[in-house]
Amino acid sequence: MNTLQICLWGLQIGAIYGLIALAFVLVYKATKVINFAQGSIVMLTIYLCHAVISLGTFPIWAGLLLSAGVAIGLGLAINRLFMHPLVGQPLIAPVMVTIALLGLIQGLCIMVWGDIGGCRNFDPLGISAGALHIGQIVLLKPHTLGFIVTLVLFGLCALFFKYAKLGLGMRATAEDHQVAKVLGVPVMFVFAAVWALATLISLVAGFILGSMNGLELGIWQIGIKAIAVAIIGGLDSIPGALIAGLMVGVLEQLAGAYIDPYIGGGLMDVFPLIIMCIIIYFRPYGLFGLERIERV
Amino acid sequence: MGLPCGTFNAEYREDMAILRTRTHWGLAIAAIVLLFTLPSYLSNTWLIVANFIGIWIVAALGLSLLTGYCGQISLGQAGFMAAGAFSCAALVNYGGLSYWPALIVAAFFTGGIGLIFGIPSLRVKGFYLAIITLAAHFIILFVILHIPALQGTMGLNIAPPHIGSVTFDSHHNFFYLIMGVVIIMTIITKNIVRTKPGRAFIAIRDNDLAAEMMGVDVFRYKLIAFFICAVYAGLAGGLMLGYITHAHIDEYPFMDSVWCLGFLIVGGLGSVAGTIMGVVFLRVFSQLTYMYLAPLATLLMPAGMGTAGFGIGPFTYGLIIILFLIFEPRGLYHRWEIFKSWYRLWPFAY
Repeated sequence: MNTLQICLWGLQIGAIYGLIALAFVLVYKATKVINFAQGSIVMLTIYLCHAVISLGTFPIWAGLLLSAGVAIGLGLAINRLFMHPLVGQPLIAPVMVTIALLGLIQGLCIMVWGDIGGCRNFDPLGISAGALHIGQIVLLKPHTLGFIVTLVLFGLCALFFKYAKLGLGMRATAEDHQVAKVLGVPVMFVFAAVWALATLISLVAGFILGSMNGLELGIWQIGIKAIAVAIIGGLDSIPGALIAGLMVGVLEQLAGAYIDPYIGGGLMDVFPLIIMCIIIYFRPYGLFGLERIERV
Repeated sequence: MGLPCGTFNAEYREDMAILRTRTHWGLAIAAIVLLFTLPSYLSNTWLIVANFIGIWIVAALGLSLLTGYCGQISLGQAGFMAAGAFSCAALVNYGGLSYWPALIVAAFFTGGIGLIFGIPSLRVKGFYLAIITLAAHFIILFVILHIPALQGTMGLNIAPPHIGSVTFDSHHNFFYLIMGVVIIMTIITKNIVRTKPGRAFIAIRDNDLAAEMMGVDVFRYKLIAFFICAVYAGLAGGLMLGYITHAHIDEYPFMDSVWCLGFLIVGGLGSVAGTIMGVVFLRVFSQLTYMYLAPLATLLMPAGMGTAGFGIGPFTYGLIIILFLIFEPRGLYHRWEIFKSWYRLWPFAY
């Protein structure tokens, strides 16, 4: 029974990893940029969301819509200011920019919200303390909400990429920028759309994370786990992100419950990275990633 | 690589020389004299900055060989420094060695750790490898934290190192030690680049498949690059330990690994002089930020709105690196080269 409980919690945590990995994979698929700043972006969107909600007394849905708008604006700004000037440069340049962005956003968050470690209570839906009891199993409300939202978002993404014109354009862009451009896909617009979508997903993930534990300045570190998850799933595979996220969540929780007591704790923080190192060694393109054959 | 006007290489020895002309020699000697009399002009604050610059130059030179010359991005340099510092402290505290042999052994031990994380470069490359080294940082710190003898949460202390009766316990004394190491490591790096492995690194960076076709053992040279990079990091970590006489994992945060890569970008990837310029520029800049910009930012922020003074450092660092990437991706060194070709022809335009 205990193991079942741990596995369920792992699935719920893993869904959040999968969600952040989804944002990561979307950016990678369209622009081939590995976004090391993903964790910081999650942190920034959720702090912005908190700021927007505590701005005034308007209904919660209005606050959420407004912060969604802010998040989309943030994504567009990142694309326009930092990514757009580097289109056509060797890939190392935009990737380095995201690495620098990691520091820049962290510094920004410390500057604005750094007092008392950036800790804030964040519970606009009033679900943080709630729990569902099913038999002997306890499911925390924010975690359960996160799980459901993640599944819905992945479903929407699947439909979007299959049927929407913009989604098809994104897939074409992912395949080859030049060919897509020749065939009439507005590649620059797709880049902007992908960044906006990624920050929006980051906001959703951040919202759930904030509802789980409140806000603090260490939230960005979840981005590192998300990178590991994205790599395990295969960098360009959307279902891979979900499956790897769930897998890593369960394994991490099991490791935390059964190995941690013997070594003195803390394994949960690095376990995804260890799994990633092992998987990357045997399957360099991840579990579901597309293997690229190189030509000279 | 243009030579100064009127200078020709008549012999192979001249072609290989790092310092080619009399002016070069004069400038080099003047620079060394200036460097070693620096402590008498600098205040204590700037002496500390200079010492950290020296330590980071050693670490950045190693990363420059791996990233700038061999093209393998590494996000684990601070982790390797931690490994060097802790292994050095453990050898001094438990192995009964004195500081100097412990420093050498720790550097090579760190090199071994670098090899372990270099092995995946057989299968993966590019940014996948960057992510492995990112994992390396966290895994190394995790392991350090979980070896009880290393007291990761408390840290290990050592006595200040000494040679004979000279103890390196003041900023002033340590400056000479660090700068000595920096000069030796710079010369070594400059020469590694010109050896067979150095040329192999550059071939791998430019096109690894083509390099392999031409008979370069890519995997072997990648491992060598990882090893050298980690040895430098271990040495830097050991120096850091000797300087602050304390090893603690909080001194090696992940962001330091990122900034180490930033030094290379700002200075210019693939040049030894550029690496040094990058470290000096960013560290001096961050000190100026800390001294002048941070109080200003705190003043400008509305009261109770956070800690602008702490955040401004990473914020400006990140901003500078991004600006360099967008506007001068070849770094300060490229600007220096342009300046050099200008003054060599001065007063003529070309």
